[in-house]
Amino acid sequence: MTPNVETQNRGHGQARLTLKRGGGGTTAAGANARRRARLIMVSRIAFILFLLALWQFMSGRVVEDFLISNPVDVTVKLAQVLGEPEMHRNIMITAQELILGWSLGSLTGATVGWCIGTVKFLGEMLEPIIIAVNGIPKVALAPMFLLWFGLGITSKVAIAGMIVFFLVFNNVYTGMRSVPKPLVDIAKSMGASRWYIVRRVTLPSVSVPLFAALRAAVPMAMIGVIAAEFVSADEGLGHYSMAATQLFDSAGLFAALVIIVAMVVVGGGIIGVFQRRALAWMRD
Amino acid sequence: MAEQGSPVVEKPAVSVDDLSHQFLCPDGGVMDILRDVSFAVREKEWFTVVGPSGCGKSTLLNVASGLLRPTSGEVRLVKDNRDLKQEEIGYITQDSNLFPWLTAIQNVMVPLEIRGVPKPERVERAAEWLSLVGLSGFENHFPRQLSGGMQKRCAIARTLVYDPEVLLMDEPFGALDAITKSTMQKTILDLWEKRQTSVVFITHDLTEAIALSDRVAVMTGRPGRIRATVDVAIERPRDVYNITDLTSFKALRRELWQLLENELDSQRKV
Repeated sequence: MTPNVETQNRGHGQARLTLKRGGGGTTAAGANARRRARLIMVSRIAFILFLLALWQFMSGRVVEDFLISNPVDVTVKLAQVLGEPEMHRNIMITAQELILGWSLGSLTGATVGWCIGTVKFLGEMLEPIIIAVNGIPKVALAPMFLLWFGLGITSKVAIAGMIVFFLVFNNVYTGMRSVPKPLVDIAKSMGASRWYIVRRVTLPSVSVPLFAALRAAVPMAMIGVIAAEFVSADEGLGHYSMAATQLFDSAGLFAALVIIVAMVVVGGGIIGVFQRRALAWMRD
Repeated sequence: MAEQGSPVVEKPAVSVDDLSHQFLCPDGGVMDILRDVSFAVREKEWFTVVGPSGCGKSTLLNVASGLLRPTSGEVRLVKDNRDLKQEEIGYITQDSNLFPWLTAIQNVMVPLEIRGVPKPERVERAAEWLSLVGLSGFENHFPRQLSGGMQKRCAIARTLVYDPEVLLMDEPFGALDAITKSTMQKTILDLWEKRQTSVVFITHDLTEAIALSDRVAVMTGRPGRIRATVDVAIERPRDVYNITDLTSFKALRRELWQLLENELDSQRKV
């Protein structure tokens, strides 16, 4: 099993590095770093504006408008639907499915990963089975889950939960196996109890891949929720997107997409806050 | 001065008796690491083991620290006619092995926390030891923010803070540059001279072995055995920085080197 560990690369890392290297001229180096950071930000915004302008230009001229809509129409549509109670309901439903699915998958994945990582026998026995099950494209099971759990919210939570389960399980399980042995040994040589080692060595060590998985799980859970809603649902953002597509309402589809992305970004951001706090010792 | 085997030591602090250890190789074979190793360390003695790499020196300390059960034989750590408990043994490894998620002072507090020392006393003792090893002002730094030498100092403070009866050190300064190494040797020697514990020290640096020890044992190549034990009759306190100028140092170094050289020659013939 390959660890699904995502390394964090924060924008300001570069700036801090320059600051440290500055030596005597710290303030000059700091100003330099700030200028560089500002340049990156300005270039980024300019690039986004360029893409939007290109999209606006192509729409109706190069590609049919009903296929790709255009930024102005999407913005208007977005403002319009955000005022409608029907859309509020769709957002609430999808958010609920996302949060429940993520929580369920994270909790069960971390628990099972921890247990199998602790009991060596279980790990050795189950590993090939888990690899095989992990190979299933989970979204392909969505129709079956609808059959089992009905057309309501439960089936969406289940499919998202399953996707998150495997992600978190995998990271916790491999994380348990790569707890640095010299650190466990040194704690043992100081007379630490098993519980102390779990608390002071295993837990902080596993929290690195755990948090990476919890964060990566947010967009994964959203994929599960939306896919399940595509298959069958009468509310939610996935359902709305599907309905909009069938009506050739591409502006509506893109508006829903903007909301979905915003939810994923906010969700990931919240996890990121906890991640940075818990893993402060890793920061440069 | 060299003597075969070890002299009879009365009331030893550490006694290693007929210690043998074998590892199972991945291919199913058996590798002899240590064979019939015996020696005894006196109370408050600094005992050093030198030997070619791969001769089982680290295995010896892993057994002594209680992390590894030997194939046969035993290591006993004794004080006042009773076996020492795990908490009374200090083990300093080549890598500092600080907990990366704990700050310097939290790292030093770990053994105190394990022993259930109340929090205010933990903080006080840890801070005191950090200042003794010259790390005042770095209490709240994480290990990655410390240099290699500072990490080593922190690891030493973490071990000495609980006042172990026996100190086991496995090439503790092996990964440091020459200057840092000398200052660390001075630091550890100063600390040791204040409160002498029994020490088993492992190194492959003959200068370090002579500068620090009361006795030096030379080990053979794998399977490791004790080839000879040499007394270091240089009086203390010692000047670690200039010890190489002494004639007695030079004679000892020549003697140890010959023992080691013979060993390397005989290994080559095999």
